[in-house]
Amino acid sequence: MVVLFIKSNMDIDGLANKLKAVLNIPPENAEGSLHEQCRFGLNRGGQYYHFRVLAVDMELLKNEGEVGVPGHEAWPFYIWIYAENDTLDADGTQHLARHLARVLSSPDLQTLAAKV
Amino acid sequence: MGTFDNMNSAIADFFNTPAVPIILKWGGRVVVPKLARLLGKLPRGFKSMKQFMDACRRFRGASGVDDAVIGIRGSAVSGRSATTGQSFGPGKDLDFFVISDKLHAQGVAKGAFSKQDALNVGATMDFPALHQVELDLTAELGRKATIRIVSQEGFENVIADETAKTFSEYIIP
Repeated sequence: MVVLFIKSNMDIDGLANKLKAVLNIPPENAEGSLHEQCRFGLNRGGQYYHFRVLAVDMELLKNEGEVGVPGHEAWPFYIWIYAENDTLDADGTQHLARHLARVLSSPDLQTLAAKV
Repeated sequence: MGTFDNMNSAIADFFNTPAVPIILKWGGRVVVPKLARLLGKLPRGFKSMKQFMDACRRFRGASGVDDAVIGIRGSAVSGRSATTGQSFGPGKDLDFFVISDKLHAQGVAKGAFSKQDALNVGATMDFPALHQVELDLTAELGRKATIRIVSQEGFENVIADETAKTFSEYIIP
């Protein structure tokens, strides 16, 4: 499992829109239980986004409160990248995180990938 | 007829009463009196109390420990988001939690991040049986179900504290 930390002045909605644009993510997930990409769950720290594309799951969370990652407080957001049913192995997940970091990077957005 | 209507009304009022979090501490342990089960109303997202209880039983069985106490919190209980005020609807998750010192210790031993004795969400992925129940319930209920692992102390630090701050409610059947 890989976590991509993000530092940006954007809010979570702006960041989600940027993510959808650079990865060409459709506006809704296909699965009925995950239809809404913008979700709310206390176990995910409140408002967050869940994208499922090509059997890969990406959850965009605010790095704060219950789900804050100790030692990474300077990064306001993180994307948790994983795949159910072994559709993507550890190497594949890392490659995807690296690609994501590359396409997201801009003068006002920094990323940091970490294995969890 | 009037009496019958009044009785129905009283029953409806009883079940529409917000869940009362009744948690007693006894020798450092969380004790849930049977009364809490009677007062606990059916969380949103479930068709029946039986379905909800079955979900809790499956999480308890998947925990693999004998000290697990399962509960649910958030908008499924209160009917609204604690922070946005939005009503429980599409896009709202079912937020389960398991209170267990043994499970929490296992997570910490596996290197999971622990904040205030509550394991970070990623930690749940290191418990395949628990995660499988998450996936199964998500498919069966048509709504994303997740579970967090907290120690006894974590429950008091994080969940109870959050309840006091945001007036979110929880049910432990």
